Amino acid sequence: MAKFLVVFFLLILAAGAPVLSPPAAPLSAQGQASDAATDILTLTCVLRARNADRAKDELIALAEANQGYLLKMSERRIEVYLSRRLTAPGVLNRLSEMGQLQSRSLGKQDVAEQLRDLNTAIRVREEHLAKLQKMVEGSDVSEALELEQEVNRVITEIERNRGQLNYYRERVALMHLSVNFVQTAGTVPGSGGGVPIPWVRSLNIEDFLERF
Amino acid sequence: MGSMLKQLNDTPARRAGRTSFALLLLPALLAAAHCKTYTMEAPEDFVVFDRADDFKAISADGVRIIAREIPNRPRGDLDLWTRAILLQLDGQGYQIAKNEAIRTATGREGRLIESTYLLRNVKYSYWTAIFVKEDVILLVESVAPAEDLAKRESSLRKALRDIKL
Repeated sequence: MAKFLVVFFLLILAAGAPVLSPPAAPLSAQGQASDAATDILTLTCVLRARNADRAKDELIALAEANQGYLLKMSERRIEVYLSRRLTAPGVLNRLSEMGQLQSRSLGKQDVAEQLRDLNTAIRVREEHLAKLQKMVEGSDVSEALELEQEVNRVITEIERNRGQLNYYRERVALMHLSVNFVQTAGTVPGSGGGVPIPWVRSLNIEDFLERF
Repeated sequence: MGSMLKQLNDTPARRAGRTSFALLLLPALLAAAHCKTYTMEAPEDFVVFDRADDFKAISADGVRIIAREIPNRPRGDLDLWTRAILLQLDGQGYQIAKNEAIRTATGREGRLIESTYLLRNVKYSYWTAIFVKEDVILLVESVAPAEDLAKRESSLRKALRDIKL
């Protein structure tokens, strides 16, 4: 009965830990978030590119040169993660070099609360785990087996929380850029785009491969 | 009986009329048959798609060639069309590697524009050769990843020199 009460008490502690825990210290003080950034940045644009394939290649190169990566790509759309060292105005400038920006929107989602809660949950569960492990050391075999199950459950919870925390940290550290491409319709006289004659217009690799 | 009647009706005037009609029809028939005004041999190690309207050839490593004739309308000379091509390629972001005069064995002047382009992180070479013969333009294009096309450079140049236009 006493063993049961001990385990029950520990379970209550583990489940209620985030609620009962004292207010968390600021993230910067905990050394968990870089540069105190706690918002997820999402930049969405519509680009009338002179050459969508080239623009995509440039965006992939830009992402890879800045600790980012390609998330998704289709004929008319690309999504990349870019380092937050690149600012939204800077990225918009680069895009405007690739064509005409038709629309842009910048979204921010503050995840400070989620980060704080996850950090607290991890800390409390780690303390709880340490106590459990001490109890395992001083218990007999049958008690140890029961406690081991609880230890495993707490470890799983901690790992899950760490995964969530890493996900948020990565999202905070990188800017999500989504670009939708629209076709360039014809050429404006004097824009330097060449003559509007079909066979001249057809001179490019994509058209060549289609004709082949 | 029928053949006798046919012979009676076949006067010299009617024969002349039929000949004139056939002569009038000839250009249209030739156009319909899409007769090429040039001949081009495939470079060494290329196979030709003999059922294609245009000249199309490919090598085992995927270097592709298309030659096609285009009416020279509105009429322009070699210099004008070369500038139009350069502008078009540049406008699409192609890097012009070479723009040089070429000449076929029969003395026809042309231009060869060698450009490169990064497509899905692969550097491609895109060659465009142009010849202008009065009301016909002959375009010869070749595409492949840059290193593959470089291996075929001499045989491609020879094929261009051997064009008869």
